[in-house]
Amino acid sequence: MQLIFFLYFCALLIKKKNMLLSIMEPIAPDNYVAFTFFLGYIAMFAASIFFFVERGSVDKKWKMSLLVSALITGIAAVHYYYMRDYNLATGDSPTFFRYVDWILTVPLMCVEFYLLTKLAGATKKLLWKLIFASTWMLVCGYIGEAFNPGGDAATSHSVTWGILSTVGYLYILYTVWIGEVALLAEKSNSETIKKGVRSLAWFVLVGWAIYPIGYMCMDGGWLSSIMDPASIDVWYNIADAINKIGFGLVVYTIAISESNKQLAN
Amino acid sequence: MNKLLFIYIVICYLIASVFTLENTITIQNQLLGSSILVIIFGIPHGAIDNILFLTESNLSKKVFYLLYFLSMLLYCFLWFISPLYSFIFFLFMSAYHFGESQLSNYNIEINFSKFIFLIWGVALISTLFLYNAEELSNLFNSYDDTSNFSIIFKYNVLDFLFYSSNFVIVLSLLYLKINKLITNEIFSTELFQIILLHITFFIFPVIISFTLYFVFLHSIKVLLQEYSYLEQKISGLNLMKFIKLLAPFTLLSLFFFIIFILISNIYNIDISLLLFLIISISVITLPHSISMTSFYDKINFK
Repeated sequence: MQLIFFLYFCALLIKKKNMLLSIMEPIAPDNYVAFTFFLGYIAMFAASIFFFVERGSVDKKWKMSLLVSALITGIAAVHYYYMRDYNLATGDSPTFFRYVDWILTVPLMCVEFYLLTKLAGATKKLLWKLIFASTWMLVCGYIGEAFNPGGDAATSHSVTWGILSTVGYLYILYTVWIGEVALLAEKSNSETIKKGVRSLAWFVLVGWAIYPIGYMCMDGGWLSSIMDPASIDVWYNIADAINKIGFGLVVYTIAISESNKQLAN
Repeated sequence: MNKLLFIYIVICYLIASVFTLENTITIQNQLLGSSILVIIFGIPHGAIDNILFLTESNLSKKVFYLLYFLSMLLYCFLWFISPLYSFIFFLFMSAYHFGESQLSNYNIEINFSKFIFLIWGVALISTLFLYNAEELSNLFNSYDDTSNFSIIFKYNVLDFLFYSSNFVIVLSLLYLKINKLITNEIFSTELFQIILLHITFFIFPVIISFTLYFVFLHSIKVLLQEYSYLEQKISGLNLMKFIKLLAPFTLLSLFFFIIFILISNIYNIDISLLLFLIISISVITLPHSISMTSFYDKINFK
């Protein structure tokens, strides 16, 4: 079944590739934005296949976690493929598509925390709280970035929505480092899960920090003098690839390690 | 990441938002916010040195107070003889104290742990000074009696201290991690904290940067350590009782500070407020750091 699905997915991509080959623009050697979109697409597509195929190597209870990892990188790969074309065609930052990607993949990353701590007693309530917080964070961020009225009200608009968005981020940060997720991981009696959840929490703390920083680097933002707003796409692309693939690899390591333990017993 | 570091991050985001909105925070507002936080958390964290030192100590109260105030007097005398050397001594002493408070709870069992404490603090202070060199140099130059302190920004001394101490502290952390003297978790947290401090000191003005570190990563941390130690020594200790323990010397410090301000307003005292602040903080810091070294020895020995 997995193989059929995988072959179907590859066939779809080949068909899409053939359709697009004729209209695809070449990437200029100094176009780092487009290049990192391309690199992100390739890396995340490869990671997606890896996680999907590796579902067969882990115990039944970890299959869902790996499927979610494959979905995260898979969804991102499709978006990156489109964003690269968009960027090449228009030269603009694909803010809308980036947020569509994030709004689908970030809640899924939060689902990973739930799946990892489910065995230690994580409830559906926790899952929904994390999904809500991540969606809140992204919707507020998008309003702040895309619906900026400009002029005198520009800064107050972006700061207001930026603060509201950051509340969501800080809630997730608190939950995974100090709150419910951290406590559940501690309760799990598994060193692998404890370490794994802690590694994912590091991704949220360090890896996700690029997004509020990027937000502050927008035109007129407080950090726009420190980082060129035009180069922020490059940083987003690198951070996205590291965060999503890294997240999946941590989950994969936990799944393999726990499955091997189960086999040994 | 612990709760204090989380609070620190939240406050950094908040201040960043204020900066985005307002472009700046006036010096008056910075000083006001800083003073409130220092009065609530900074001064109290050193207000129970007597209790901490005398618990499980053979030294009598009289001798302790005598030595405590004698060391303060001696340091005042040193300030009188050589303000510049006293200032440099103050910076290194503070560096050791901050480093000790940062790393001592890991109970690192190596011969050169005290050297690592010093280097951690030197990295902290040199980073703060280097990123805010212009602001600090202007501040020192704005008073006659502090202008010679800006010598620390000359001859690349600060650059040397900044690069070498940061390099050595990262190297030391790596050494400790490789030799399994600290866990991977501690290593990552410490490294993250160093990077976070660099970012904070770089983007915020010096008063905000230092207050954030001093209050949230130093004073409150020490207060929590003190509370948890005394909880074992004093039966039925709760927050109210702890505040009552902190109150006398906190109020006394504030009383003397207000008295000085009043006197300096009435009489024309030949010392700037900045120098007075530096001297008073430094003379309190000397016996406080000695007491805290003894305190950390006690909790680590346990």
